[in-house]
Amino acid sequence: MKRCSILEERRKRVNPEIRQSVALSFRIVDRIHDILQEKGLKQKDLALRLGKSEAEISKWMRGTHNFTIDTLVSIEEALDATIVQVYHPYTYTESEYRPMVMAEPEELYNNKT
Amino acid sequence: MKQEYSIELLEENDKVNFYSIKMAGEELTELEAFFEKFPEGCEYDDDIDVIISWIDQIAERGALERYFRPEGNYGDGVGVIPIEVGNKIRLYCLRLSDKILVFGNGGVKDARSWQESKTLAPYVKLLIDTSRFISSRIKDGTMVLVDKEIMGNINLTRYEKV
Repeated sequence: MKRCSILEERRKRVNPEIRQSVALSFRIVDRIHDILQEKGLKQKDLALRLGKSEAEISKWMRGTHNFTIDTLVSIEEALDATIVQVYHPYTYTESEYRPMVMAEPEELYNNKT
Repeated sequence: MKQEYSIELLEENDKVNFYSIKMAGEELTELEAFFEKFPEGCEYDDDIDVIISWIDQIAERGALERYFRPEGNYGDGVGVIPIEVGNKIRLYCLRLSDKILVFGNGGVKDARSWQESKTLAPYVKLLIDTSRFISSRIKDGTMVLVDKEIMGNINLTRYEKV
């Protein structure tokens, strides 16, 4: 696989917190996208339910938005679905573990158990 | 002013290939030149870190339309890497498909829009023209997009208004 050496060098110095933050934002927006698809909804439907503009929702869905807890809760309410839950592997029993997986697709969960 | 350039493959990934524009006579592609302008330790480190993190997510997921902020004309695929943290740097790109992304250049946001910025407008106009040239070549069969690859005549010429 061809790589760009200048980009590779700069990649090594990326702040890990920023990298993780962007990765989590992508996981969240992919989860929201999947819920919208499952429910046959569009971004404009979510915008209507939240009282936001469609442009604002599009902005959120690009993978670098810093979601607040309040925003995530309002999206969960609007879509009647779970987006993010806290993962506590040592605190919960196996039956409680399943809904604790954070914004991950089913196949990832199945691979973990 | 006559500009001759080509589209060069920069990085291959499982879901998407990254290309960049290379101006005739220049050693670096436009994307490489962009990163050389903002070395580690510059005041825009956070913006650059977000851009690279975003690029790496795109490498894993593909260049899906919903991840891009459109900047050119309707439907031409020209976009900017979306940044919310910092939000001072602009890096422009041309999305040809979910599997092919062409990076241009960018710089510090110094106006309300790229149209009002003397430094950023040339980068966006170059990508808008490139989008038009590629569409034309795909129509006449001298260029084809095959999976993650751009095949055919990748050498382009434009006349920039000065």
